[in-house]
Amino acid sequence: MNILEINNLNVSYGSKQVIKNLSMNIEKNKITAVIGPSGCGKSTLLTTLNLMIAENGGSFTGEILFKGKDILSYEIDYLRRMIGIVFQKSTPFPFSIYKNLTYAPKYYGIKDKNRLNEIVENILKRVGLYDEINKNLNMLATKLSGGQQQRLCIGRALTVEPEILLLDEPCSALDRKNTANIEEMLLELSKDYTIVVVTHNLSQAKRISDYTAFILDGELIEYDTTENVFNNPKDDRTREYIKGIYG
Amino acid sequence: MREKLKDSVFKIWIGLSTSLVFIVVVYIFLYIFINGAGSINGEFLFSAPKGMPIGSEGGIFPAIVGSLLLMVIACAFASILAISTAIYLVFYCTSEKVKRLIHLIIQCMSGVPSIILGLFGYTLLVLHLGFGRSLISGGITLGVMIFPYIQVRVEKTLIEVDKAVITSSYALGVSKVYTLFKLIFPMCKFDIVSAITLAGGFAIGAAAPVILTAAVIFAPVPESIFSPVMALPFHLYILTGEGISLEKAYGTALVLMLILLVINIISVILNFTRKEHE
Amino acid sequence: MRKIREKIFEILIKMLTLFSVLILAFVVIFIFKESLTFFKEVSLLKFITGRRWNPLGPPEELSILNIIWGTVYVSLVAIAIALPIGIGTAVVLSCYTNRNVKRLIRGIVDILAGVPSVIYGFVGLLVVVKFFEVNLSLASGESVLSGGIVLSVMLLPFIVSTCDESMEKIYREYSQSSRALGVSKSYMIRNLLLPASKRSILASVVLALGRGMGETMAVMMVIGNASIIPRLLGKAQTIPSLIALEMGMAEVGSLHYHALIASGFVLMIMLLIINGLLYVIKNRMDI
Repeated sequence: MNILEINNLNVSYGSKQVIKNLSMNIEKNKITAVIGPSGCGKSTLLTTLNLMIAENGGSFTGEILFKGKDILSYEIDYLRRMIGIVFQKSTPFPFSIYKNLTYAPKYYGIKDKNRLNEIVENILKRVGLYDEINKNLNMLATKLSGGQQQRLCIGRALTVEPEILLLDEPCSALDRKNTANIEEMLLELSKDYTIVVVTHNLSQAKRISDYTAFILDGELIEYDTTENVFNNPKDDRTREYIKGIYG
Repeated sequence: MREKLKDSVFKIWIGLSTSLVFIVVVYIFLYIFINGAGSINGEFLFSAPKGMPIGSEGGIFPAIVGSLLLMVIACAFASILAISTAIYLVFYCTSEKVKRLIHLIIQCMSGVPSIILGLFGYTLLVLHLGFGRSLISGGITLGVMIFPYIQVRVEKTLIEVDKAVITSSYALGVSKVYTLFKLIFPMCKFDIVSAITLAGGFAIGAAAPVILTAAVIFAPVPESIFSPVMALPFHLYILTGEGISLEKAYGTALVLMLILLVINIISVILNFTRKEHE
Repeated sequence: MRKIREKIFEILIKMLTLFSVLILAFVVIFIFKESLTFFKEVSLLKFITGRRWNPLGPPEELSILNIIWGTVYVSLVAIAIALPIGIGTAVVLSCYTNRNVKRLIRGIVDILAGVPSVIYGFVGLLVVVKFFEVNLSLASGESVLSGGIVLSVMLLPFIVSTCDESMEKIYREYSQSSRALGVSKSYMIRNLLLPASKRSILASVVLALGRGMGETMAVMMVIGNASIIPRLLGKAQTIPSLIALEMGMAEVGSLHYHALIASGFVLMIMLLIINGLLYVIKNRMDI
């Protein structure tokens, strides 16, 4: 089942067109990796999907359906709640871990202490931080290590119970061990969420994703199961890109 | 040879200049602390001025309270306007032209001398609006004076907030107002309070705006915002200018300096706490 | 519900901003309107070229040339004293200190800027004025010179910080290449840094002039407040002190009352011209 359907999407910043006539469907509860050289429009695609593009000064034409309905027909708050996003640079709020995780639930009207505690505990377990920081919920989130911060930010995006999680190069600033942690966590999360991850790291895409999309200069060159894209690419450009990186 | 002479003269000049700045500061502080220390005691701090002419005996309690109240009103008035303007410029204003115009106006405002603001407060608030010489007239006039000071600093603080953090708040589907109150204000609170505190110090020391709008030679602790008040700077001016009591004047000057010292220490602590938090 | 609250907040913020901006307009319009009443009776030209100020009459004479001179004179004396000291300090600050000493000197200069003007007036009266009376056996120590000395201390922070800012930039830019030529530091400062800082020094002078002319308390307490032709060792009067002293006594609505507001108007126009000058200098500085 396709949770997102993108039809003939064009995105531009002013007169500069960043995404050209892109169509693709994203399957529910799978991990879809988006790969391509930097500046090819991968990140722009993500920010378009939860409509943050307008705030960044861009605009789009074409159609994006979320669960069969045009995303523009949803309330923007609701849409962003359903389609969460985590950025490359981790952005913990300069509050305690607890406050980071209750920030959004409180906005959506959850006042009950027990309920909030429950949410925090659940999220921490999901992102694998529970054992590491459970006793330190009042610690400043900015004092966590880089990998922990990123997991907290993913957790924070989960506090609003989204259906889709967009990740923009979530591991590019992390070392191998933390990257492995996050990959493991994403595999676990894909049981309940649809995940779209933009990445530079081809082996990461290969390791964790079910589908892979290759974008070059704003155009979707190839989109298939990860196995097909990596082992049996149909387009020469895809083959070159994959080879080029592998050396 | 000539070069050597020039070199020496130059070095003497800059050395003397810097030393002179140090000496002046130390001199002013020592002068007031040494001369004023003897005048300060419980009675001076906590009783009203007495004697004939008034102020030659007794204390300065109503002036301390009056000055603090003027400061509080000025800070409240100025910070509501200054913080609103800063929020508007950083988070709502989309036109560069409007932004530049408002910045220009605020810059002009900071260049208006305090006596002109006093004149304005006197004609508009005291006379036309009929507030009379009062806490409210003086407080608003001082508020207008410190408005640009707070606005500039608060705006700078808001601009410096990491854009990525704000974006991730919006990404959670959270509204602008919620982001402002629950994320940005808590992040900036120390800087904002510190800016207001310093501006308060500026207000409490200003005499020119309150001469015309609030201060009188003698008044009890004010009962309402429409009561006239005593203020420390004005009291100091009267005590010296009219030659009433030099001893009391030294004491008043010292109290004023001590209040400013406390205000500055508070702002330093706030800055320090903020750095701890980061 | 939430949407409405968002909208209300936005409107509130916009209204408060508008109000803040209008206050400046209020200040200008009010003072202009009130002085207009005066200029209907006495011509602007007569007001600023006549020498006699005698509001209590008879005959009632309201001209402020002496007072305008006094205002400018005191500020110029103050700048003449403060400028060499300020530039010297700025040079030390930008070229001769490490980070900690820099912080110390900046702190000291900030303290200087934070002392209320009434304290300067107070110390000035008891120290500077008294010094002139005792040591130079002048009849009265209250004079333009006393005012200039006291005011110079108050203007120092403006001069130091304005000069320091650009001097530090220039020093960082050129010190390396100058040292490569084997030239001494003091030679470099005298022949490269100071000439290159001309504009910012000029800007600091203009800024200080504006501040000085608008200063009330410190000057008022030491200058003698007599509306006569100002001399260096004689008493004088400035516009701010004139307003501060006489506004409270002037009968509301009388010619005297309007003349005082008109003098405030004249001061504002003079400062506006000075600030315009400053704007031009600063804009040229960047090119």
